[in-house]
Amino acid sequence: MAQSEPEGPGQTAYDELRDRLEAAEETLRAIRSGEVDALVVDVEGEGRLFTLQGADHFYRVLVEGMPEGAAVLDASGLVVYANARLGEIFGRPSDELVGRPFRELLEPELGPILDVALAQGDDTAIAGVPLIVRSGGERVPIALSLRTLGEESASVALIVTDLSAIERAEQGRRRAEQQYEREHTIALELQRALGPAELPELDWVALSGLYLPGVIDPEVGGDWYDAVAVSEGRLALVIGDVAGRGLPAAVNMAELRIAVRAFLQEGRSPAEALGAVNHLARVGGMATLFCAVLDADRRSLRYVNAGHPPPLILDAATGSVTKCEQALGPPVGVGWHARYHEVEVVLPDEPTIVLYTDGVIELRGESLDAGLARLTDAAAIGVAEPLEDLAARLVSTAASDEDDRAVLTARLLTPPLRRLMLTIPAIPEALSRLRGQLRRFLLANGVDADTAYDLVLAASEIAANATEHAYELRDAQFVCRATVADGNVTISVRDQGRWRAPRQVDGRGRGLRLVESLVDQLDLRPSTTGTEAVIRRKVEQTVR
Amino acid sequence: MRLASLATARIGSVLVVTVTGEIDRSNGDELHQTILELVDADAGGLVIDLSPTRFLDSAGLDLLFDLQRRLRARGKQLSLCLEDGAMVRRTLNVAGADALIPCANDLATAVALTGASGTDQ
Repeated sequence: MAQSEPEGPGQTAYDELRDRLEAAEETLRAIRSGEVDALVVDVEGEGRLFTLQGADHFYRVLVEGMPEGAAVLDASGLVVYANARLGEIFGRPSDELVGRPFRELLEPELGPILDVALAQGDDTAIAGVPLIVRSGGERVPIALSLRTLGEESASVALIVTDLSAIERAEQGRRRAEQQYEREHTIALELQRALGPAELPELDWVALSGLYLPGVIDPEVGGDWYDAVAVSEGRLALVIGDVAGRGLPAAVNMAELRIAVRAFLQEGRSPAEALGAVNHLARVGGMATLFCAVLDADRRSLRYVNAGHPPPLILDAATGSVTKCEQALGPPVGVGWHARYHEVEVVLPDEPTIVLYTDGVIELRGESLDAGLARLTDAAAIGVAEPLEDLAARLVSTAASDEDDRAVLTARLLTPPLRRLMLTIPAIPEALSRLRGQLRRFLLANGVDADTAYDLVLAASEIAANATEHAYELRDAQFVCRATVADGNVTISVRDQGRWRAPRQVDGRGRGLRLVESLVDQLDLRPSTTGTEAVIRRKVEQTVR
Repeated sequence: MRLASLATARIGSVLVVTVTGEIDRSNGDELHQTILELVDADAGGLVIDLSPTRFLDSAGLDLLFDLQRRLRARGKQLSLCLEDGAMVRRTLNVAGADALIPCANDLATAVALTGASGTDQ
């Protein structure tokens, strides 16, 4: 700095000002460090003594460090002491406040309020109605409280609380609370919308699902189940458990669920659907998933398991309980390299399929096998119960209600089918199997035993012809379909071979003549790809 | 699993072949051959006992008609044993076989229907 030193009276005034400043700084330092208990403030040309009577060193240190602004005013309202925090609130160094009337620091309209407070003296608090003070042009809400320090000095202690900070904290807290509320509501909504699925109503399978949220943790979990009709006579059953809790888990669950549904409805097999979903699964969005297609015509379950606890297949006819322990792959969302394969299992006579999540069998400090054993025991007992009761029984086996518990049960109905479809090797040795399936199907649909025999005989005859048509074809199959509707049984047998006129040699044309005597109608529909023989007969069904 | 099994007995000079199970296109020819081998020259007649037979198709009818034709060629008779209410009776009935081949509800009558002696000579 290359300024020439000021000369003359200017120099004197400057020195005086500097001295005063140095003195003030020294005073403040002394007060702050607790070295002095009294000070002299130059007011209107006179030096006036102020004491910090009764205040000891510790209190002053405390006052300097407190988060509220603190000041001492004399009887006329001049600031004789201000702590550092008060300076911050007013946006200027605290020593600048000393010696100034406190009311100057306030908005002009607050003067009268301060007067009232000062006049009232002891223990006056002005709070709840924030006063506004100026702080470098910014208006800051404050609360004010006063206390008379003693009659001798007639001074007043004053505490100024910056409400903006509290308000910011309060707003932050409210925002966090609202955010949590909102997320919780969305998550619950998502789960309500996606969790306890609306199960389709089908005439060949009964469904019942139960979802109980965990009681300890109010956050929603990532369990879900789903039943999706993928085509005529085929129903997909899905159960999954997304890792984590709260909104992220709910969103992940919703995405997975929708993706699985979409892939299955597209006609993909369970393993294909899971493979596709695994490629979509977000990083870290791990989930265990069991996905199956229940086939009414084949009376089978085709399934794949991505790390999920094994579902159960119950048989009400024998009381047996078997686990779906095959086709096990890694959970989805762990790696793109995961490959899934599926198996198809033939279902027992009166099957109920039980899907569940780990909350049903899991208990801290216990092996999963123990929980699984509890579940299978309960399943064996409830195997013939109405589905709702069975589902409730299974959920209640959970040893803990901490975690979410989901159960989905599906029971193939008996009489199970209005339609039967069988794919059978085109060899005479397979005819017996065809007859057995067909006879059970007809009896289950209320067709009397004599009529059932006639129809089974007729179907067996046309199927036997189909085996002859396919005589030269390797691994040929034929497809037999049967329906019972509107008092008519219709059975068709489609083969892959070429129609041959029935051989009259050794009397084999007898078969077709027999068929004609047994049914009301016989149609032979040869085509380039094969021959379809259709028989129809009126039946009287007894209600079962 | 065999679809049908055979049991044989002799009542006097009459051979009785009992068929348990099902007779269809898959096993008709084999059963036919086996029964033909069982019917030796000494047999005065043949009874096919269909009482425990659950199913009979046109291959079974072929078998029965062929047996009847062959026995007649030797001057002998075939008869069937099965109850009126038996399921396979339906096959015979629809094909008109029960009018062409003598049928009886019980074994003694069936044996008598062969016209051969049911007692040892």
